[in-house]
Amino acid sequence: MLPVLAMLQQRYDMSEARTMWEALRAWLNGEPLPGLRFSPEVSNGIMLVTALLFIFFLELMITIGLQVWERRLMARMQGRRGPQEYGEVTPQRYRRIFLQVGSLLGLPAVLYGLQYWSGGTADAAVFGTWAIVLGVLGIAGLVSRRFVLPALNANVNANAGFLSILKFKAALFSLLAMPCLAATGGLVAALLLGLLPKFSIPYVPQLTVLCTVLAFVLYMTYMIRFYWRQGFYDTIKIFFKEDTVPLNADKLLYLIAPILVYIPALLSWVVIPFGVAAVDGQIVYYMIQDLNVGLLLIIADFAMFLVAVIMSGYASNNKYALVGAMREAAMLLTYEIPMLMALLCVAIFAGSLNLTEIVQRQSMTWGILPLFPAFIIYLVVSLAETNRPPFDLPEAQNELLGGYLVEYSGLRFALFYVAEYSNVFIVSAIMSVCFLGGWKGPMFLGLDGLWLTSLFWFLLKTYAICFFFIWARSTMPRIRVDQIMFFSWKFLLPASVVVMAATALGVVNKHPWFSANQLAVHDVDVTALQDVTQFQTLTTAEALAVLTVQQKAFFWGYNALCLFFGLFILVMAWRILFVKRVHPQPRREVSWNA
Amino acid sequence: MTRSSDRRVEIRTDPLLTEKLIYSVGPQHPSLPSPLELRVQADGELIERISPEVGYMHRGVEQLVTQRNYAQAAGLLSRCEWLAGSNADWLVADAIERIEGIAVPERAQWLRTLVLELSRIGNHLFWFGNLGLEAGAYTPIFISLRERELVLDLLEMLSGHRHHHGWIVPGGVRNEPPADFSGLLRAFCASFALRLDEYEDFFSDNAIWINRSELIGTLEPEFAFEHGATGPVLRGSGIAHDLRRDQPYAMYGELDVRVPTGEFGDVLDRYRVRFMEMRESLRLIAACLDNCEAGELRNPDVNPDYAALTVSRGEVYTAVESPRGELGLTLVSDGTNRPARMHLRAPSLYHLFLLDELCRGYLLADLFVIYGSLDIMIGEVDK
Amino acid sequence: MLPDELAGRIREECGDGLLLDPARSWAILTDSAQLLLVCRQLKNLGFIRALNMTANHLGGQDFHLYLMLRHGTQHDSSLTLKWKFSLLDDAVPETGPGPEADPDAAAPPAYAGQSVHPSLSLIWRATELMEREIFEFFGIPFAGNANLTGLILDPQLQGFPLRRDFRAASHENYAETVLKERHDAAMREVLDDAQL
Repeated sequence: MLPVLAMLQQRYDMSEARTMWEALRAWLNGEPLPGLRFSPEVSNGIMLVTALLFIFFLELMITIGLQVWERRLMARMQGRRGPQEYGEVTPQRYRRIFLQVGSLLGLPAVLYGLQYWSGGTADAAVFGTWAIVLGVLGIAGLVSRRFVLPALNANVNANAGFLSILKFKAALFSLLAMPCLAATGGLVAALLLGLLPKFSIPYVPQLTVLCTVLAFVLYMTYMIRFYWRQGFYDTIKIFFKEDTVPLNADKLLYLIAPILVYIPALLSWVVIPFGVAAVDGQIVYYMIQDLNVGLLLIIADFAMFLVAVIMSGYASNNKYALVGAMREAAMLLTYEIPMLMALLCVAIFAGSLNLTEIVQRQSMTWGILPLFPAFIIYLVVSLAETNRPPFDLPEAQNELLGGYLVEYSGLRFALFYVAEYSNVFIVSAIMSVCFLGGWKGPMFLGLDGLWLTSLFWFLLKTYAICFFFIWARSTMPRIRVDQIMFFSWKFLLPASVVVMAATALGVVNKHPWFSANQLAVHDVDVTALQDVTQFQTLTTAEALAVLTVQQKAFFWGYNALCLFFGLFILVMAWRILFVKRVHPQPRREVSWNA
Repeated sequence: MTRSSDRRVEIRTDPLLTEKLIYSVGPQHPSLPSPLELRVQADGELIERISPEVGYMHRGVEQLVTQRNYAQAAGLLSRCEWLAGSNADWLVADAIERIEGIAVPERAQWLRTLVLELSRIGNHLFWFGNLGLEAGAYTPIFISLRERELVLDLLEMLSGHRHHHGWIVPGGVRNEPPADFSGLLRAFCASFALRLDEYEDFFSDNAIWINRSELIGTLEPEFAFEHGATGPVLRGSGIAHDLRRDQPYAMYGELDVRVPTGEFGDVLDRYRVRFMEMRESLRLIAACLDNCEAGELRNPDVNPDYAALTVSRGEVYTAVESPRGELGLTLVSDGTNRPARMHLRAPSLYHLFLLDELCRGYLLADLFVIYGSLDIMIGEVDK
Repeated sequence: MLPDELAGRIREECGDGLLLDPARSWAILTDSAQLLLVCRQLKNLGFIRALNMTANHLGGQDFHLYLMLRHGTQHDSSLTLKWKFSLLDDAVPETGPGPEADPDAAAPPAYAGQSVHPSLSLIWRATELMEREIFEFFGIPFAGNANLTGLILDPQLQGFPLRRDFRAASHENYAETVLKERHDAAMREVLDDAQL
């Protein structure tokens, strides 16, 4: 595990970083094609159009993917066969897909292994991480195939759809395992025989990146072919549906409300840092604009959403729509305060509202460690913020028939829907950026593969949060409107105030985690004859050595409290999820009359 | 917690004399599985008055049965209550047997009891999924319909039909159960007991569900008595009344039926009562299976051609404890093979008109949970 | 099936007007004029639940009415009451409640010469719904029912469908006449609304 830990703390010099958009501007302002030079106006126009199209298609792809994924995932959670499977998806076909994907992923492992064990110049850390990831996948696959699957097959009541999904997972794991095990076996044999001469294979890192990309593309192709097709069809279909306006509607407001919902949802994508890449030795961020007030922009976008929803509810001339809009207004006003408080904790922690800066400050410790309560608060609030169950009362389908959406059809309805799913993704991205370290993680493809690994870690964390959203949807009943108000005003708001106070206290007391392991070092500049404060990034252990006794006491005291809180939550979760209860065991008196 | 501390909100007087909001919920509304209109007068979201408008599904069954023979009449009546259609079959058969004084063989009685209990489970499963939807949870409908499919498969195996079985005929039951029926039913009972635990783990102890149902829609026992509430709704209010125990029919007299009762008469009590009834039904089914192995299926003195059956003059009222409450049949026969008058006592009719009292002072969101907890079947209301 | 004690008390209280059948689950009211009196005595005896009430048209102006009662505490005791009722003239009030009848008044209204039936809804609240149903299907008006309106049927339907002499004449051109008229009226209303 050592190389993994080493890579967790690996930091890249970001002082020269710029966004990919600035790189594009530099390229356009230079001589993009031989003999071609754009005027500044033309290059700005090109960039604007490109940016709009880029965000639009990115958002469309991600929202469609999210919707399709949600439907299938909920089907799996509910033990039924999901919708939209095209063609006969047989185990043989799965096996073929994952043999291809697994081979592509296994090839670099073999090459790395050969090079490493022959004493060549392979990067030991990269090889180690790669081998561990594949090995874990392979062993998990074998275990699930050998032990888990037969146990589930014995369950006579499980239906065929449920079983086929498990077979799918087993196939995935076991077929990934094959090349990994082959590679490992070969390596062990070679090591034992000691026969290998020293040699070095050229372009192995580049080949690794290529194989990973190919595997990903192959996998996505199959996914789109089998599962996502219906999502695209639905999207195209909804573009051609009739656009109706109800009688007596306030026509202007009714028509512009969906656009006003959609624009903020689109705007938020500008500032999200998806990842980072090394181009010609220079670090480039995947984002449109590295705004200093990125967090503020996203919060403002959510506030815009409310205005548009009230507009649509009022303009629809429908009682259900009006009630839905009023519920939305009450709920968002209630929940924005704890949301702001939770994000303020992040701002205090990182000392910046700039999202890339927030990510960079989490090189040593992720935000979730010091800000765990704030993370929980934001997790709850984000469900309400995006109108997801169990907080979906503004559009409660079986009470208000969709609430403010009830009169909309066609493209305008689609705009609302895309905005909702886009908000889900944005909120998850914010959570992964602010609390889970954004694109930070073991960079197992080295500097050359930085663009891929950073994207991988970012999307992994974001989709883990999206999974939580879907999980909550399939598990919880809907909360009533007054209960939501009570919960927010009486619990979340005081809790968020306390959490913010604790964060400020942590910064004051020089708790290393709260200032991103950056401690001030006083240095006397002789020439200027004044104190210049410099910041130094330390590991937690190093930082502890520097602290005074009071600061150490605060460190351990705070962490003990945090641990207690975390354990409390874990125990509660354990009781809720896993403790076997014997029924009938009514909580209240429902008695038998013999 | 006392009865008076339910979560009703006092309806305030309106000094501004603003116009009341009247929602017209239905007849097409996703929470109302059958066509029904609820005129809800509300102050914002606070419900002040509900008047149900029924009749969107009126098919004139009471008129139609007088023009048809008894076999067809039983089929039509079971279309009034399609989730547990065997109850109507039993009612018609029992009414004829009472008028004619026909004895039913013991094995047939056990089998009838078994079918009635099995269809009770099927109905309660559908109710559970539907209640989940009304409360805004998406999963209960899928997991409960998964088990209900098995119930329907078993009933189909027995009678050839999934909903309107027509298996109970005067003098006994229609045909021999298939050889592997009892084994499969036992396997189902064993697995379904575990599934019930799974449902309760999943939904009953959910804090949001408790908040949505506890002390919501409280029904006083006196009020329930006065307004003709029966079945789980009455038992939820704390009155231990169950026809299976108090006026035993079929083989219930030998089965020692236990009756669950609630304490507060709220949504949660009705919910728990129905869950315990499912467990009780499992127990009764096991007892029936032990006893229905050998014997006659049908009284040989009765005309095996149900359609040609003539019934002598007489009047009879017979009732069955259907999953929703007391389902009664008044039969007036004039000596031909057609009933002169048949009237179905629909428990849902009385439960539906309780809504005004149950929902007053609660929020609009509670209306649907309360409606779901009453388990109303519009087919029997509209006839 | 009534227990002996209860049956004895019923015979005692209600006198000769009520004939209990040997099986003791049916009772026939021979003198219809005593209906309210008997009902109140039955309620006092503990029959506080009215489960079902229905009618049967015998042809002409005659009806049989059936009322199904259950004891409030002894759940195994139930009784079906049956009596005869005749409409003496065809004049049936179109809508709305009949004259207010107070069952606690000294004497029950003698309805022998009238065409309204006294309502039982002030004795058993649940019978209000049953009476509405009977009114709708048989055209028997109940004096004292506060809410005697149609429940299930189309309000524009003429006649009473469960009477023996009912002919669905008005339904022959139902789609062309009634439905079309109603649809046109609704559309007119919507369009007027839209022009505001």
